[in-house]
Amino acid sequence: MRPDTWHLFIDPGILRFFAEGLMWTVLLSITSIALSFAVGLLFALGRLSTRAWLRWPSIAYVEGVLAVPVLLLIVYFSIKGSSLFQPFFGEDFDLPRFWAGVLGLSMYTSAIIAEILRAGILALPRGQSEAARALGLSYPRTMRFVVLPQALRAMVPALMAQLTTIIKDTSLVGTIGFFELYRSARIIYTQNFNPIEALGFISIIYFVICFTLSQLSRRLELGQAPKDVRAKLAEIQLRDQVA
Amino acid sequence: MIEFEDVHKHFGALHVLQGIDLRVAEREVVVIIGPSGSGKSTLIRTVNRMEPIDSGSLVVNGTQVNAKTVDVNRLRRDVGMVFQSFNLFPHLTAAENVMLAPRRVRGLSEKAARERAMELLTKVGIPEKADVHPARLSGGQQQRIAIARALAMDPKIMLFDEPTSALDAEMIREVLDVMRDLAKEGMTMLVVTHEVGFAREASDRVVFMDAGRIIEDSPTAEFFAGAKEERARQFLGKVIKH
Ligand SMILES: Nc1ncnc2c1ncn2[C@@H]1O[C@H](COP(=O)(O)OP(=O)(O)O)[C@@H](O)[C@H]1O
Ligand SMILES: [Mg+2]
Repeated sequence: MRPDTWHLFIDPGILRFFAEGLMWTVLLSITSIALSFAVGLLFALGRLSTRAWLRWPSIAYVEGVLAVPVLLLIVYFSIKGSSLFQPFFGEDFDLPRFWAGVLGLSMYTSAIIAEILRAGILALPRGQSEAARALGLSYPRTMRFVVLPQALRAMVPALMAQLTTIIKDTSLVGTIGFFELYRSARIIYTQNFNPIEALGFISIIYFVICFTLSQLSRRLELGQAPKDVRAKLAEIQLRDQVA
Repeated sequence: MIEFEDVHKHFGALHVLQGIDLRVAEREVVVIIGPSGSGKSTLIRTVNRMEPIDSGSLVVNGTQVNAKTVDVNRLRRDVGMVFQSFNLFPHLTAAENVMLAPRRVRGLSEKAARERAMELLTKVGIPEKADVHPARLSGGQQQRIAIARALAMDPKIMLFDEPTSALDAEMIREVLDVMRDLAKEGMTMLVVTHEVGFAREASDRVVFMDAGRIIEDSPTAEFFAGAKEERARQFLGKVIKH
């Protein structure tokens, strides 16, 4: 411990520095969760499709991505991301680290969200979509107006949990040299030789945000997800930790 | 209006419909009875192609239901369906349940759809529940709203699959009253039910099914005066007792 460096953590300049790191962490998280949600929804619907040419690629994507560590995906996009997009944006396109991080985080999280949404959709009684189809609603309208509003509502806690996971995982984007909360602490402690203090300080910030969100999601819980969904979700989360 | 000719259907190895011949004329009310598992639900679900058929011909409102070129969503607008378990949409209020199809299929404005929904909720006797969610309604009220929802697309045919089987005795009446009114107005109806009282009063014909076949198809009065088929008589004896 380096009590002589404690004054740093009330210094307005240092605090502003951490605040800037936090801002990038929040931006990374929000961008990634939004992209993950859109992509996850597509793959959930793809995996539920009766058309094999939609279903099989969706299964491959979800299962394949879940089996890879998220850090590997982030590193992959930071190394290969630029050449991946050069065919679209021109020869000298350079993928910013922010977007390499977003792509790595989103690829992984979209696979988890796809599974969460699929569990939510499957848990709805079949009578719901049957009643909608019997009224003459097409499949997309049945999804849009009957199935998804209910599935999403049941999945709010699981989706919020995913948001907290993503917030913590943004620290991995720091390892490819992007400036965010973890990186800001690293810069401070390499200059002041106080890793315990610097890392302890940002741990408290992570904790406050994630704990607040998880409490919020408990409040938001609009009705318990049915038992079989909870079992399915527990299984996904377990796999998440193993992977 | 509805014409089955030698209709067959399988679920895997199970031959659920084994050569169904049945005609329902416009404004006719036909009640289907028969033991559990005999294929009654499957039969009425073929009418709006919730279940496709394997062979034979099924014509509804002049269209071959299973022709490849048929627009199912178009076909289903003209056929309302009421389920045993109501299947109301729990995230919508009673009025919103009724308004959903007119708004999203027919493209009616919110205001026009709401007006029509209020008419229908009045017709089924619960306009005061318009802004209540289904979870806060009794089974009988839910089923009446489900009927209003099915009527919202102005169907030419109404299908009922054991609409009162999930209800307590006091609520069965309120649902049957609504159905009786519909029958009086001349709605074409195909009703699976074991409510003998309703069949007697409101139906024109009774069809008895067993093991995927129509065993008897008689005018209501004749059927109750003495079913021709032994199996139908036995079944009727059982149903009436309790
Ligand atoms: N989707 C399905 N898949 C497989 N078998 C089914 C399906 N639906 C119904 N069946 C079977 O078909 C038979 C007839 O069912 P159903 O039409 O529901 O009879 P009922 O309504 O007269 O009780 C039953 O043996 C039932 O188990
Ligand atoms: Mg049935």
